[in-house]
Parts: sequence; C-alpha cells; structure tokens
Amino acid sequence: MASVTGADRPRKKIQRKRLAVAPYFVALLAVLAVLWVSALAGSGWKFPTPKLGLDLQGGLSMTLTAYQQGSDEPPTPETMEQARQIIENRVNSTGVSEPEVYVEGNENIVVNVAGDDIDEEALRDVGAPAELRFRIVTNSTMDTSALEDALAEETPTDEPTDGASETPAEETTETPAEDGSATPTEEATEEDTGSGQAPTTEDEDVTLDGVWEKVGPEAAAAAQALTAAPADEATMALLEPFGELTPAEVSLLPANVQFFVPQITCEQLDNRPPGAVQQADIEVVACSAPEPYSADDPSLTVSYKYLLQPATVLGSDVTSADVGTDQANPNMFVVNVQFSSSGAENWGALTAENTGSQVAIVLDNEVVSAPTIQEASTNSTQISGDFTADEANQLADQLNFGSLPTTFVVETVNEVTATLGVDQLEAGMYAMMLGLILVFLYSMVYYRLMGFVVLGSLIVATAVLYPAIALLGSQVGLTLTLAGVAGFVVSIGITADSFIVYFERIKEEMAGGRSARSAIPRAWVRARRTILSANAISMISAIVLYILAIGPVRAFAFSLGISTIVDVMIVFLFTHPIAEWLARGRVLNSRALSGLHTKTAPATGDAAAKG
Amino acid sequence: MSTKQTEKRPNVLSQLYRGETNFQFIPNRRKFYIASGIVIAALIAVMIVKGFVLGIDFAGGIQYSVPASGTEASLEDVENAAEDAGAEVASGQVAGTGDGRSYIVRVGTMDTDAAAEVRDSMAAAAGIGADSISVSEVSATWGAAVSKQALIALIVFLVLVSAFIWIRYERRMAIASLGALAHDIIITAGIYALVGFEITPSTIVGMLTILGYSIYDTVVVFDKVQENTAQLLRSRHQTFAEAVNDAVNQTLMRSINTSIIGVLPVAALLFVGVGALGVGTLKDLALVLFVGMVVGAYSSIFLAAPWVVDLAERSAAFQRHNKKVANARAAGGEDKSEKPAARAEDDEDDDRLELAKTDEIPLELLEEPVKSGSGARSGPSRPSSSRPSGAKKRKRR
Repeated sequence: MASVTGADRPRKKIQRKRLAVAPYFVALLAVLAVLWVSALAGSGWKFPTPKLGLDLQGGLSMTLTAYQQGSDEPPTPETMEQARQIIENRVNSTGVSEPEVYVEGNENIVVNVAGDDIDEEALRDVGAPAELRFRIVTNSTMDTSALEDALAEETPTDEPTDGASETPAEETTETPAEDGSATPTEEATEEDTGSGQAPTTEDEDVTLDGVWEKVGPEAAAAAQALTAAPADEATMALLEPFGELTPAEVSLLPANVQFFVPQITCEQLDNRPPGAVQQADIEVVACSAPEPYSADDPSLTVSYKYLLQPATVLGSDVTSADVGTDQANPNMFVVNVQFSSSGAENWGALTAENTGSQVAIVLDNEVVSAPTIQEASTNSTQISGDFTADEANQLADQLNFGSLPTTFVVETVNEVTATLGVDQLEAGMYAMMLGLILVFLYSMVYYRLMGFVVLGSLIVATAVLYPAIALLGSQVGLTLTLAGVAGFVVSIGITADSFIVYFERIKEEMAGGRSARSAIPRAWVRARRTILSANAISMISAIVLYILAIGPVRAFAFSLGISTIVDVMIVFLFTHPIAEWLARGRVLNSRALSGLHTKTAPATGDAAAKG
Repeated sequence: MSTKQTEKRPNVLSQLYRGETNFQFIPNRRKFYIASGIVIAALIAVMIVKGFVLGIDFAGGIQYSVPASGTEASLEDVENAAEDAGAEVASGQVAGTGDGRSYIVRVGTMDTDAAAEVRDSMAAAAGIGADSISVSEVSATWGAAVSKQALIALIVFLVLVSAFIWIRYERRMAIASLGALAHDIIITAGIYALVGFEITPSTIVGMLTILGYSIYDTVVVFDKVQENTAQLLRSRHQTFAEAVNDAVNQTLMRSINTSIIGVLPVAALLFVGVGALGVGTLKDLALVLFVGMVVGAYSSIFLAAPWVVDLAERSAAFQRHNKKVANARAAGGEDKSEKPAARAEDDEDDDRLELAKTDEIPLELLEEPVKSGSGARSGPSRPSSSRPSGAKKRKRR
C-alpha cells in the first residue's frame, strides 16, 4: 500500500529474474556441515574446543640452560638474544601458536607453550643445536647391540652369537683409515670440550684420564692400539668395560677408540652430550638412525657406526632448505638444501675429490643419511633419511633458522597454569556478551525486522567461525588468547558492516520509490561491489602480514583472514538470499516492520527534504 | 515516530535516517584540517614529552619464583602482595606439581631496591623466607626481529593496498586513504601515550586492526564517491566538491551505523576492562580499538573525502568543469530539470548499464595536469582561478 507506484511497475521483470535462494542455503549448510564434521574429527569426535592460549589455559614451560664448551663464563647477552630468536622461530614455525620465549637471568631461555596436549619430545627438540656437518665416511660398521638386546629378551640362547659374528664380517670389506697419527691431537681437543659437557652428567669432573682409569690400563692400552676391530676373543674380553661407560664418558674417548671398540654402542654414542661431534676440524664417530634389520619384525633394528673425517661443509653454508619428495619414491620425504656461494665451492670440492665414497650428513650427534657420491655437484643437495613429513619439515626449519649460537640442555619441563586469572576471562566474556546484546538492540531499533536478519547473520557467522577456529587449533595450532577472543568479537562487529552497507543501499533504492521486492536485487548489485572491494583490502592485509610477519602479528593476520572470509561467505550465502526471500513476502513492504522505509508517503518529501 | 513528520525541515535524526542530510563537510573542510592538525600536533608533543610505557613483553622485567609447596598462600595472595609493594604484575602462573610447585610471578622493570621490597612483601604473604624466593631478570619476548618483520610487512601492505585502491578507484583516493590512515594511527598512538597505558602485544594487534579498519572504512566512503562522480564531467549541474559532499552525506548513516555497531562491543570491553578489573589485557586492546574506530570513522568523512576534492581540483579537467557549472548556473538559474531527466530512473534494468558506464570512464584520463601551479588549491567557491587553462581548452572544442 505504501509505494504503490513503485511496487506495481517492476513486478513482471523482477519475477522473471527472481533469484533462486535455495542453492545458497544448501551451499551454506554444506559449508557448515563440512566445517563441523572436520572440527569434530579433528578433536576426536568430542565437542570441538578452540585451542586456548597461555593466558587462558596454561601449558608447558621448558627451561633451557646454555653452556659454552670449555668455559664457565655465561654467554653474552647478544648470544642469548640470538638464541632466543632462533628458538622462537622454531617454535613459531607452525605459524600461529603464540609461544612465549624469553631469556631468564643470563644463561636460561624459557619457552612457554600453550596447551595440554603438547608433544614434549618435539618441544625438547626446539633446543637442539641443529649443527649440520657434511663429513666423508672413512669407515663404517654395523652396530647390532640393539638387535642383540631385543633378541636376548625374546630368545635368550641362540641368536646373540649370530649377531656378534656378523660385526667383524661386515667390517672386513672396509678399508681401515690411517688414524694412528691423528690420535694424540684429538685427545687434546676432545678433552677441552669435555669440561664444557660436564653439566649433563651427575659427575661434574669427568676427564679422559678418569675414563681410562675406569676401564683399566690394559683395556685402555688395547683400545688405543686398535686400528681395526678386534678379532680375537682375548681382546674382546679385555674391552668389556667400555660397555659400562656413560655417554658423556664415551664422548671423551678418541674417535678411533669410539669406533673400533665394539662394546661402545650406538645408544651410548647417540646420547653423548649435545655438541659432542660439533667441532668441524676433527675426526668423529657417529651413528645412523636405527633401521629395521629384517622386514618381518620392525622391532629388530640395527644402526651403522661411522668413522668420519673432519667436515669442510657446515650448516652455515646452507642458505635455504625446503621439503620435497624423493623422485624415485614419492612417499619418501627429503630436504632440499641450497648452498651459499662459498658453501657451493666447498661442497663442489668435497664431492669432486671423493666421488664414489660415502658422505655422511651429520645433524647434531646423529648421521641422518650417508649417501654415496655419484658425481661432483655444487649448488644444492638433497638430504634423504627415513623422514616423516613432520620430521622433514622440522629439519628444514632448523636449517633455515640456523643453528643455535651456543649449546643448550633442557633443565626443567614444567606444567604451568594460565597467566590470567579466571576472573579476567569471565569479565571478558561478560563484556562480549554485553557488547553483542547492545549490537542486537541497536539493529532492532534501527532496522526493526531486518534487525533479526542482522542477528541471524551474526549467529550464522559464529556458527561458521567457531568450528573453523577449533579446526585450525587442532590442525595448525591456531591459539586463542584473550586478546584474540576480543579480536574476533570486534571482527564480528566489523562483519556487521557488510549488512549495513547492503541495507543502507536497499533503503536508498526504496527512497527512490521502489518496493522492497524491486529494491533488494538492485541494491545487492551495488552493495556487492562495495563489500568485495572493502574486504579485498582486509584480505590483502591478512595475507601480507601472514607471509611476512612473525609471532603475535602473524597470529593476528591469520584471525583477520578467517573473519574476512567468513564475512564474505555470510553476506553471499546468508544475508543476501534471506533478504531476497523476505522481499517476496509482505513484511518488508510494511513500513512499521521493515525499518527500510524512509518515506511516509509515496512521491512526497523527497524534493522538500533535498531542497 | 519522527519519520511521520513530512514538514519542510524534519529533525536531524530523521534526516540522517533517510540519508537526506546536507551537512557541509566539503565546504568546511579547512576547519576540519585545522582541528585535526592541532590535535595531531598536540598528541605528537605528548608522545615526545611523555613517551610510551613499555610492557614486560617489550622492555623485559623481573621474574620471581616463589616456592609454593610449603605455603598456604594462594597465587592471588602473592600477586596482591607484589602489587601492594608497587609492582606492576604482568603475569602469575603456578608451575609444576607436588614438592616442585612454585608460583612464577613476572613484573615490569624496577630498580634493585624496589625489586627487593617486592620480594620481601611476597615472602611475608607466603610466610616463607625472602631468600627462598629466586629473583631473575627476564628479557623481552617481543624481539627486535618481530618488530622488524612487522614493519616490513606493514610497508608491503601499504604499497599493495595503495596499488589496489589506485587500480580499483584512482590515484587521488589511494593518497587520501594513506593520509587518513596516518592520521588515525598518530591520534590513536598519541591518546595511548596520553593515557599512559602499557604497550603490550595486544596493543600492537589492536593497532593493526585499526589500520585495516581505517582503510576499510575509507574505501566504503570512496566507493560511493566514485559512483556519484563517475559521470559528473558530462553534466553541469554539480561541481566535484558538491558531488563528493552529497556522497559523504549519503553514506553518513552507513558510517555512523558501522561505527556504532563496531564500537558497542569495544565500549563494553573498555567499560568492563577499566571499570571492573582495573588492569588487564582487555583494557589495552579496548582503548586502542575504541579510539581507533571512532577516529577512523571521523577521518574517512572529514579528511579523506575532502582531500580527494583538493587533489581533484588541482587537475585542469575539474577546474574546467567547475567553471562550466558556474557558467551554467549563472546562465539558467532555474535549469535544474536536467538532473532527474538525465538519471532516467524509470529504467528498471539499468544496473548493468550504469555499472558499465561507471567503469568506462577511467578518471585518470580526465586528469590533465594544470600547466601552472596557480589554481592548485582552488575550492569550488573560487572557480575563477582556473580561468586561463579552462577557457583555452573550451575554445578548442
């Protein structure tokens, strides 16, 4: 009755291009269903909850203590800040988990990570030195101790002799190195590093002399005289005490002793203090990761023990590393490494001189892989090991972020509670509730019936946002801090802007004398442009900040991106179709209800007010 | 309802509701420039003189580790004791369980004496010896690298957004929105310095939100400006300044509504954060957002749109147009019938057509630079200054 002239005229045309609203709602429901199902799946079929930040739910606190080799002086503040940075980058490499990393005192770094389901092993690894070394293999032998132990548990009688007899057999094919002359110098250097490594052991004063004493003079003399694995029973028996040494004690022994004494197992070698094989200019011994001995039983594993030459190519020669898959075997993950110009030179020389021999890629105390050099190469190489995707990513991150300037040991790992009191969270929640009620009241007063569309849109936005946040929390570690929660509430307020742009457009069209039915599609065409342009800007900012920034800023970018996508989705899939749908009924043409009418009578007032 | 009144001058609210206000934003723009200029100058002075209070995340602080296995006191008691002794508690946590249980309380930087005082106060509250509380300095968690990367990201963002606005709209709008953005950031930061709240990571995140919001809000206004002015140069009934003023008036209700709906939750946060809790994360964030959103809405209307007018009127095309309008008005004062006729409002399916037209005229093409800088600053009220170039060009036609 109100805008009779406007309503009558366009009816036919509008009906012809009447929007089919059903597909939009179906699409929206599909999105909702997919999000909720994935969120449920992500949380193990429980009601999905977002991952809360340190301030709201607490988490784990790890204290790393630095020690510098060969000195009792604490590291310089610059070194600590550099290390803090690298550790923060490593913790942050998943993108958005907002850890706290700070230096405490002058030699501790505290890493606080939110959550109650943290992989403690992975957390400990962020303190790993990540020293990469490329070393030519001079000798290798199979270490069957793990296999023997496993077999000894199962079938105590037969097998051990089998395993033991294998060790020498394996070795005869290798050429022993001329390491007799190298021994004295090694002793000196390793002793040096020894005092720095002390903090990890109970006995503060482990020295090489102490170790020789512990194994006894005959064993010491026999071990030092070895230039190949002992073949006779008498020597084997004599060397028995070496099996009892602690990893720290083992790390003090000269490389040839570590290598040739069969009683020194890979377990002992792997557990040497961090940085035991870090020194580039000496010969060292390291083991490969255990691999299955036979395909039948994965619990039976063997490792290879390698005697390695001094390193000429180091982790610092690597400029970038990324994860790829093995060309021959797409299920195998590899890490592709690019060398700097000087690194490429060294690597070229190394591969050219040693074509045909094995090069061991040593990360910290372990040989990651030991491929045979097929031909000389320069710029890049591929590290293949038995990586899972996660392990490959972690290694690539560690290489990218660089190795720590000093060595750290994990001192404590503690559970910590939330930093903010429960009252803060509650107050925040009340404030948000209050805010949303105010928003709703305002839209009801202003847009009347359309206020319900605003409310509906906000509810749908929440229904989309919640599982999305929960899903991202379980998948990529998106963490909600109190500030983050507040940010999302504010973003919902900003989301409402899209509706307002749209409704104001409708009002404008209706002020021109159209009925709601005719005004709504026209207004949509125009409002859509505005909404897309404005949201494109939010999206640009989210993407740029996410790619370039780190830490809390990156987490913010992530949230901004999500809420922008949700905003566009809600306007397109919910607000617009529902407005179209409402326009077919009578309510929107009723002035008292719709809140979209700006004129009291058709064709009056316009000129008067404008003039 | 006020809307029922159809008299000559409905009250301002109902005019607002109808989008029929006719506030003189553009003609009065100098006043707004001066007002903003004064406020910015004052706030920059505040920032320089007073500076910012950096929170523990930026400046580092002191960490107390209070053994908690042998005490009845709760974490809250210990925190309160620290606050009573004058410390600004940044965070309090319970670490570990059983015998190793301890309260970890971190506070802002203090000198040695004050730190010792806080330790004694906490020891008294916990009923333990002061020596058993370990005190250590903690570094900032927000490293220089975070700031550096954020800054790089910000610069790239600004470049990209300018490019986007330039391509999607026009160069003048890109410049004006960056100006409005700078205005918003300076005022928000200045008020933050004035109030003296601590800078925390939440504050920075709030600033970034404001950054996005400011540009977003400006773009919505510009969208309308572009629509209203796209075909302006073909007609003679309105100057560019008048058209922009209309556009701003038409989006006024949108701007007000957006701001109200955006600010309501923030105001609630601010109210609860300051009123009920005293200190906290919420307060920091809410203040930044509150000020930023209000200032952002202000700058889109009162600064960004007028700047576009100023920039546009430097170009010959618009100066010539102003002249034409003036001439047309002088000639046939009553000739206003052109407007409704040209609009062709009865054409139902003109959406696509109008849109096509809007995009067909790239405003860049119309921007012939003024040969002399003489008329650069001329407003709509002074079209005479553009006479030389305008007259010449018209002759050629």
